[in-house]
Amino acid sequence: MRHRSPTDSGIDADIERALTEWGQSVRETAELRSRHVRVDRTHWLQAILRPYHRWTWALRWAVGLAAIGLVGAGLYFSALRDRASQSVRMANSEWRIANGETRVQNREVPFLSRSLLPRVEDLWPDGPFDPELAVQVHTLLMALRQSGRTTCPDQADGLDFRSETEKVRHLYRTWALTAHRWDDPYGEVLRRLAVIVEPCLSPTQAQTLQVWSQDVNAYLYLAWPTHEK
Amino acid sequence: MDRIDAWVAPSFVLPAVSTLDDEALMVRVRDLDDVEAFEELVRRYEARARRLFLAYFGSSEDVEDGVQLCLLRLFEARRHYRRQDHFPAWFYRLAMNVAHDQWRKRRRWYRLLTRFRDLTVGSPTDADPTTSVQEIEAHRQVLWRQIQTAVQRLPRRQRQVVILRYVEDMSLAEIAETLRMPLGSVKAHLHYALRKIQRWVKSR
Repeated sequence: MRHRSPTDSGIDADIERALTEWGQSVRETAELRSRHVRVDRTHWLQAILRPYHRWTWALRWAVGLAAIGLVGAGLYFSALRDRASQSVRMANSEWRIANGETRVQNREVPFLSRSLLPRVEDLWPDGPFDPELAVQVHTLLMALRQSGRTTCPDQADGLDFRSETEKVRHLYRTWALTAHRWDDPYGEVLRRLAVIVEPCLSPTQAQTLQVWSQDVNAYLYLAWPTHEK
Repeated sequence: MDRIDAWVAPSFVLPAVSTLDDEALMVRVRDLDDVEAFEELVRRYEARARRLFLAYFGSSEDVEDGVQLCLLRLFEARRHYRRQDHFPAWFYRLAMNVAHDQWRKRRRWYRLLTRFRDLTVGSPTDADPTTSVQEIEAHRQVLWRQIQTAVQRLPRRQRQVVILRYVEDMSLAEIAETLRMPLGSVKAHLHYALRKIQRWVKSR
């Protein structure tokens, strides 16, 4: 115990001595308690640490699972929304066809996705971009995608393609150019679609496509009776 | 001691805990959740924690709760420990924060308790110190209780300085390092604390 000198600033030496003795008594009491309060460390350490560890691990698992659940739910609802909006687009197209619209009235083309626009635009390397025709080609793309197949027979129009992407691209381009040249987009394009894609479709899908095609053909027949079907 | 949910390297890789200093032990607790190292730290610092809480709360039953809570906080705060921290100073800061939090939660109850104790114990001047050894001892007990009460009435910083100085027997420089304050501030806090204690004891 180090020696303490009395302060010279108005503090009594008695008080400082009393404080020193008090500190000593606290130390002795603590030591006495430490001897008597001899708990089994294994027990209390386990009591402290085990729930702590379990709790933190449970929390980590809970947070991890919640994060995975959130991401999964986000992806699921995103896919659901895409599918719903695509169905709405298809229903709109069918509604327009059923109601006798050969031209898309809405110039803003809201359902034409931006990511697809450049690709559709590429279909017209020689001429100006035609948004109405782009919409029609886009509708066909959607029909093709909804059929569950994006590939076609290896031999199309007698051409042999090196890759699937090139093949599909060529088909789109052919349909679009043909439709543009003939000024009869629905009839010709749908016919070509039916001829090329039908072998790839399931019976239900093929039937749906045929019904749609027949509806459009019937309309086109009424709209242009002079046109050869 | 079982190793609980924590990976601990085999003994031939890590040195025995008894040979390590406090800082190395704390680093092992921090990095490896090493229960064995933590137990060694507890063995070394449990008595100090008990002293601190006894000085804070007198001989109430809250002392043991405080010690347990303090050691639990030590484990919880292991990730905040940095290798360059002087462990005893770091531990004292943590323990005093725990003690102060506990004190703040039950402040009214402690004040009521100390008032009741003052009423029942009386003044040390009532006894004649020359009468007998038992009476001298009783006189000292009363004086210590009054000092305990006076210390509990001090502001936070002054109380911490007094406890570190007279219970932990630290030098002023050590107190300054522990509390992270200039030496002059420590001296000032100590001076004001002693004056308050003196005034309090003399007014009884």
